[in-house]
Amino acid sequence: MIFNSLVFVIFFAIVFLIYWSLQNRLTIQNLILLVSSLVFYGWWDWRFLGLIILSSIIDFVVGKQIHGSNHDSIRKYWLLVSLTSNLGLLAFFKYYNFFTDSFVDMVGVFGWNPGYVTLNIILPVGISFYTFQTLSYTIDIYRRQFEPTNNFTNFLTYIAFFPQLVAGPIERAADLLPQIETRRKFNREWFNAGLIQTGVGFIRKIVIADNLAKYVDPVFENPEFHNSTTLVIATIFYAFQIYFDFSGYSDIAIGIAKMLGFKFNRNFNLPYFSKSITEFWRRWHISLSTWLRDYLYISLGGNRKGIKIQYRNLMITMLVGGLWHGSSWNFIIWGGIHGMVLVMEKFIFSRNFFSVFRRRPFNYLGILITFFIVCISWIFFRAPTLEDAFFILKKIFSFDFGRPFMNDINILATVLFALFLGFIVDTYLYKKKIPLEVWGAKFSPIQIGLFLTATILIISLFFSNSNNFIYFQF
Amino acid sequence: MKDNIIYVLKIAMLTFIISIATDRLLYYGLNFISDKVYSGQSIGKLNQFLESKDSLSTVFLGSSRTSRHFDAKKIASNSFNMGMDGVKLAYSTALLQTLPLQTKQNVIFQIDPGYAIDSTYDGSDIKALGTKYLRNDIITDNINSLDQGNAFQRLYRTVGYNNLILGVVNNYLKGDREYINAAGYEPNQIDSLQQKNLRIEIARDNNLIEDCGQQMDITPIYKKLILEIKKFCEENNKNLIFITTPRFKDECKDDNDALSRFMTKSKLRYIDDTDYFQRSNNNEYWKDLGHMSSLGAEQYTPRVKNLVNSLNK
Repeated sequence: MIFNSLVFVIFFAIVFLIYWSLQNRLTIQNLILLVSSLVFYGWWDWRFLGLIILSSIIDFVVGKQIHGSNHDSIRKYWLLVSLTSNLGLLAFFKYYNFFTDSFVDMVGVFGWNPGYVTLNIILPVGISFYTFQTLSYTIDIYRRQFEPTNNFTNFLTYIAFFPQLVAGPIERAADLLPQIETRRKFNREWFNAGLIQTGVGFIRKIVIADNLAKYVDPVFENPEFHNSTTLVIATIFYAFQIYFDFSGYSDIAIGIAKMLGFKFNRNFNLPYFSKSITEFWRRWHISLSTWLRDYLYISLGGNRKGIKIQYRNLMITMLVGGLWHGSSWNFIIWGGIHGMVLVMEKFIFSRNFFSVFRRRPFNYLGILITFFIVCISWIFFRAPTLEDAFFILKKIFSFDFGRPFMNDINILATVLFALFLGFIVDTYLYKKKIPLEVWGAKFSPIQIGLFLTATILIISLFFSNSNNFIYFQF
Repeated sequence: MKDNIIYVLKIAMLTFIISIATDRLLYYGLNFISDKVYSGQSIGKLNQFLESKDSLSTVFLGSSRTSRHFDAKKIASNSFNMGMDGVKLAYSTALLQTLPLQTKQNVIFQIDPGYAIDSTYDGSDIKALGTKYLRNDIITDNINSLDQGNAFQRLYRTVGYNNLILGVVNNYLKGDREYINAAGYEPNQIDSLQQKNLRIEIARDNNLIEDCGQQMDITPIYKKLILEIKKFCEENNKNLIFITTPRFKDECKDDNDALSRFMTKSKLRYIDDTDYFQRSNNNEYWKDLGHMSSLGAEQYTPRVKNLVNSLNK
């Protein structure tokens, strides 16, 4: 089941009504959340429900074992059980073919051909997201930052909670589990804010991102047909497509959770207004970047072991971040570009004489430079193959500028309008410093009615046929 | 809790009432404007066709391979080329049925064998007639019969103008009637970039290994639509020819054979001109592998003119 479908709207309306009609019965409410979450996931492919349940059982048991022991070696042993089982499942489903293919390619250089080794493996939707969630649970318990729950239903609800199950935000156990275990009351301000954020999310996804895809997809599928102008436009459009697609998904997830009485952390904070890549990663996919910071970068030593080790740690963290997105060299290079620029920024900003770059007008220049770097890296993220990515880059920098590809004029007009709409809303929120998460909290019923009317009409007039959310593939 | 339920219902009711009222206002406003638009393919060309269809002697129906290949004015007087980009058989079948009953007319129906064997085809191209859904009975019936009606559109009528509103307003303000002069023919002009891209396409196509020699069959939906077309034409005095216009190259003929067999079995006149330029091909005749350039169409015109003349005898 996907958010941008009529089935989901009906599903959510039913869950919402039943859920809130049982306001004072926490156990039953949680059971409803669990069952609806399993239905939500099983709608896509029920066979993979077993994987989530297996992962949850392992971490539920491991969490208790770690907490129940005072011996470091035993605690470490159980942590290793959690890491190997979770990462093992992820590695098998997501990376098996990539690593075997790469291995075959590598040994092929030495003349050895091990034969056919790839398997026909289906990637379970959301596995990268819920693996990181379950890991955060056991690692936090290991670090004595969190105590395990005794209630398996609550734990499974935490892992499978449908608003964030398939594409995040990656909610830590310390943030979400206590909310699941606490009685929740219907809160009008939360309901309002959730409704408005969900509406904005739908516009971002269905109107802006999906329309941009209509221009981007044909260009990236056949880059050899297009000149530099078209490839530059398509790259910039893709930067906005992936932003509006994923932030739209996050808005819907956060908004829906809020309507059910849960507060998720912010996942996007207007990232294209960043003045550096360092700032970009504080604003882009925040739940992933903070996860990588807290559980990988800091575990590697962070900035505590000298500047060179810090540079190394940054590179490793970003390369793993790239690989987390997908099993291909494109994503590793994408992560590598970000890692390299982060290292360079650390170096530049650690020198006082570069502090001039922090002032106006250089910080505006910073926004442009950051956007340029991000766009270059998106080429690797979007191109179907590594060869295509290099081909596109080469073609862009051949400066073969000419008349751009127009596609259908109605589509192009809608794309530009949609982009304009997104730009206006984001600039307004940026200038007014209003987090979208609380924007609608104080709206009156009439204001909400008007806002939702505008949302419905914008969607009616400008929706594009639903594509799956880009991050579903991760 | 009761208060909260009332609160949620209040918002739901308010949203419903305001949104439906606004939708209807906008919808009738858009209908008023769009009915006066005669430029832009999606609305303008359709309006031009609907306005003139009753008095036409020859009508060309089909996809972009119709609009780009038939120079209607040169082929027959008082004719109109109603080819539309991106559409297949369902869209054109619905338009055919809007032609006047019991009035003698020639109908040249461009049909592509490749689509006729495509099992994923569901008739969804008919959605391009969404602006006329619930406004034109014939079109509405056709959309419903293919189960392509949008339940949401019954509630929010503006869905019919999805992705068209900016074009409608722009073309309304422009006020052109661009489809009158060329009678719907939209020639492909070629340039150096397009010729370069054509060479890339040809090279790619040459590298394709096709699995020819398979037994293929026309999909049930295509059979149904073709028989509907036949029935309508027989009952309403229309001279019908199905025609597959030229392609740059077509190695596999399994789909063409399947379509020919079905046409023969159904006693329909079908001309397969896929290989029309096989002996005298020239890159300048082509915009891409499936669409002729204006020069190609010019070369092809006498052939179609003869066919139409044969219908008039």
